Amino acid sequence: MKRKKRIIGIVAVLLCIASLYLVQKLLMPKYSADIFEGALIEDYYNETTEHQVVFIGDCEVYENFSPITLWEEYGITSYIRGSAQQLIWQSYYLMEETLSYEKPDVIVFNVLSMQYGEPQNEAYNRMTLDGMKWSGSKIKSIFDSMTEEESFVEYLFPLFRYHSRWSELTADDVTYMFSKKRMFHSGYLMRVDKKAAGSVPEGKILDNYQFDDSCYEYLDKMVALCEEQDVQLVFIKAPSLYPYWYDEWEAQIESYAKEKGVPYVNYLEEIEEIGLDFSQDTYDGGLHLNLSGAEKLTRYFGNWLKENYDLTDYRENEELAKIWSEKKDFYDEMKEDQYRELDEFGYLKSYGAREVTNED
Amino acid sequence: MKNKIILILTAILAMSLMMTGCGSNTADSQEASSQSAGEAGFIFESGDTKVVMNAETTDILESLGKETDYFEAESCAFKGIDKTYTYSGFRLYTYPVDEVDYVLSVEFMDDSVSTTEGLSIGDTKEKVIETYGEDYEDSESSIIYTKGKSQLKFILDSGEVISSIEYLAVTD
Repeated sequence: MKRKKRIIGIVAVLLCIASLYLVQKLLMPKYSADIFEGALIEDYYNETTEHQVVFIGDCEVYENFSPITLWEEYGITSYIRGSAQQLIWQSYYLMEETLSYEKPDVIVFNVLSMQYGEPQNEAYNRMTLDGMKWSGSKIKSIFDSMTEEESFVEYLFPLFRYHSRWSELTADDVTYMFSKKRMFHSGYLMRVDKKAAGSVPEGKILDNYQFDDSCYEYLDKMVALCEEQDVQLVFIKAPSLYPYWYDEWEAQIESYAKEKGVPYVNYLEEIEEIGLDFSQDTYDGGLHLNLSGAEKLTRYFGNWLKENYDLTDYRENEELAKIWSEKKDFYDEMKEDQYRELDEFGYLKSYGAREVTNED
Repeated sequence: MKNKIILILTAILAMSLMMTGCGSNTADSQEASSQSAGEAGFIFESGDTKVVMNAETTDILESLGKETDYFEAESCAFKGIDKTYTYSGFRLYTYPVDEVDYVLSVEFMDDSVSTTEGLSIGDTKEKVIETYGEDYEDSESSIIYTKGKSQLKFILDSGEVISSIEYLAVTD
């Protein structure tokens, strides 16, 4: 009798935990209808092979580089571990986490996030942190990222944070409970639409152009980690026309990179050489490149990689060729679908774009 | 036995429903701080137009007339566009909340415009303090006054001469 009661008790507790787990899975945002960026970080864990090059950073990496092009043109395997407004400490911990899964030859870090020395915004934090698998890196990243209003327990049990979503549930919340909608190409978020850049305002005068000490600390950590792991670290500044990249910031990065012996390339200074045309190669007026621009930049960057690093061309490797052929098929399918939507609706209706009106 | 199982399952269901019952904002929007022209706060004036920080921009933009330049930037990931309107001597920046635009800041571009109290780019730190008082936050190169849900920020060149003036909204 006692044994029976004990078993019932255990079953009850397990059922309780399972129910809460399922409810949590149901209520967490799926990022399947819009704000697809929220699913970027988690997508990495679907990869089945290692990569020679890993990009880390904010939207200036995941919207501006095409791993498929890097493969097609150079046989270089790559992945972009990007997320929206990814902060430098989040980048460091993603780097640390990535290196627990694989050892790339090169890690490329976009330096725009050096402008943020403090936690910024819960919504962006969530998009970087919720998708990470639990690890020491994730825990440290959460503690360094939380704004005053946030608490660790809400990251540990996201149900506490998202319980109010019950009124916003859609069929997608059930469909994508255990795996997200496939939207990315080794971490690249594709946009084929076009919106020419007009005049981009110069940056405001700042009272302080010095990057925060905390940002330099994480840059130091990145350098040390890559040295320790024998991974080549590269700094870049993507050729996005906005947010404004100050000369004072450029000077600091150049100086730091020189001091540490880390290669740094500012692609804002090589727009002509890359062949970028901001009347054609951007989908949002110069903030991010569209597919055409991303492929041009990737071709240019790939050439630089080839010239500076001894990276194997794996296009003749049967196993990798098969995997990347499938990735290429999906890439082409999405490209075709996006062009179809542009023809049909005038904007990328299913891809997070806003409807173009006569006022635009 | 059967009753016990039903009781346990009911308890589980009740717990799950309790967790979904509370109301809370989702992690995808910011609140606009509302502030009418009558409330305390720094107000920038351009001709007859009063630009109140955090105010809806529709009437303000209509009153200011056609801008000399316009720029918009979609925010990373989220729907919503940050807009920049350039006029003679100043720029007006907006932020969106639920598809409505609010005044984020007004930045002076040159000395052709002045604050309501008469300060312009090129004036001295001394004049700023004489005009606005000692209740400010400062750093090596800036002085910031806060009033209501707004701030007035003076950036100083070499700590002495105003190189930039900006009205800022304090948002939630």
